[in-house]
Amino acid sequence: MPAQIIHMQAAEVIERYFLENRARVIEIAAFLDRVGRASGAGAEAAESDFRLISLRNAVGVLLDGGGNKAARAQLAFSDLSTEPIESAAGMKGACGAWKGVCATATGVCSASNASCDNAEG
Amino acid sequence: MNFIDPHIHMVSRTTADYEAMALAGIRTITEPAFWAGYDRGSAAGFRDYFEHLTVFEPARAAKFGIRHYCWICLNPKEAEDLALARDVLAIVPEFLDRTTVLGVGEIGLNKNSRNELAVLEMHLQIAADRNELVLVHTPHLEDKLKGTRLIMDAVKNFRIDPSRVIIDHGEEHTVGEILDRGFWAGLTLYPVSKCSPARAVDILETNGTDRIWLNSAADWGVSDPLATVKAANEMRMRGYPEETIRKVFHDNPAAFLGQSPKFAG
Ligand SMILES: [Zn+2]
Repeated sequence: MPAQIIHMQAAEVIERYFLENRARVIEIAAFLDRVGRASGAGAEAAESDFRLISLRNAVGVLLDGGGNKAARAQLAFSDLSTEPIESAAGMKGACGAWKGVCATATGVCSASNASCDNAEG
Repeated sequence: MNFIDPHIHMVSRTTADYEAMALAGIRTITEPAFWAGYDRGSAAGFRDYFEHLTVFEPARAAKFGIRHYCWICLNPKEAEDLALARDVLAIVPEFLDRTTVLGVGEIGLNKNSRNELAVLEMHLQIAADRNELVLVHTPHLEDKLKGTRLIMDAVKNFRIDPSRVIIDHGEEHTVGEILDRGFWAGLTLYPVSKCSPARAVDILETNGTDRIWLNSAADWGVSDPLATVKAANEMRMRGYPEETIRKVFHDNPAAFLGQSPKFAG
């Protein structure tokens, strides 16, 4: 890895980027509240949706003492399998999180039938 | 300074975008062949698209003082149908011969399926046989890490020099491996689903500025044809010298693209 490029002091970084990141954390908190408030059929399954599990795993990365947080948060959402899937017929978009997280050690989880229609270019 | 946006889908953009790009200093662009947002029904549909990329779009760009190059292939989002893929691959070489076509792209994977991989390998065979530059699309979101690794392994199997291959849409968890394996890495500036200007500059800070380019990948979705200029401004705000900014947004893409004798800056 090349020597890291540093042009700003830590205090400058905080000064410049704090407010937008404060807002992001509150957005996440409000999103989780919104899921929690939603009642009716499926409310329980939503709590164990693979996307929320992955999100909580990624938030865990923010709170641990380690560095390289952006790359490790990305891994919390990534498909960690290595073999190609048999067919992509009928599949176009990505969900943003890996359904296979439910088969890992992260606990109770639901893979759901999310359509994940994020079919951008 | 003159910017190069090496990955942008102008067939989906307006003349107002061309004007804004020219005014912002974007003088050269390259447009990979990609998905239209819907599946084309036949190889004839791709022929029309390749015609558009090689004839109409360079002429439209020239009216704004912008040089337009392109890349030709069957994109990975339409690569599940092997019969269609074979028909499209049959017409790819005649377009690769055209004067503004810099190589094969954007090939790669979308959902990391066996057929997508087979079609990727068909393209790599053409690139190896013709010694073409290669522009690679890596999958989105959760599929990116796995797909990036499968793609790099496939390229290695064809003994294509990695310094002639750009692996695009890299992010924090893939750029290090891409560079370590000798490839060029592309960072895409895209609202929500790819890199913000701040994160892209963070990736430069942790991985260096060699063998790396930034692009807007602006297309028919929510995207920004001025994203490269905004990322340059992010570097400026952080105190980068102009020569480093020029390296990232001009010299680097010019060095990679200049490996094609057709590229004139
Ligand atoms: Zn693209």
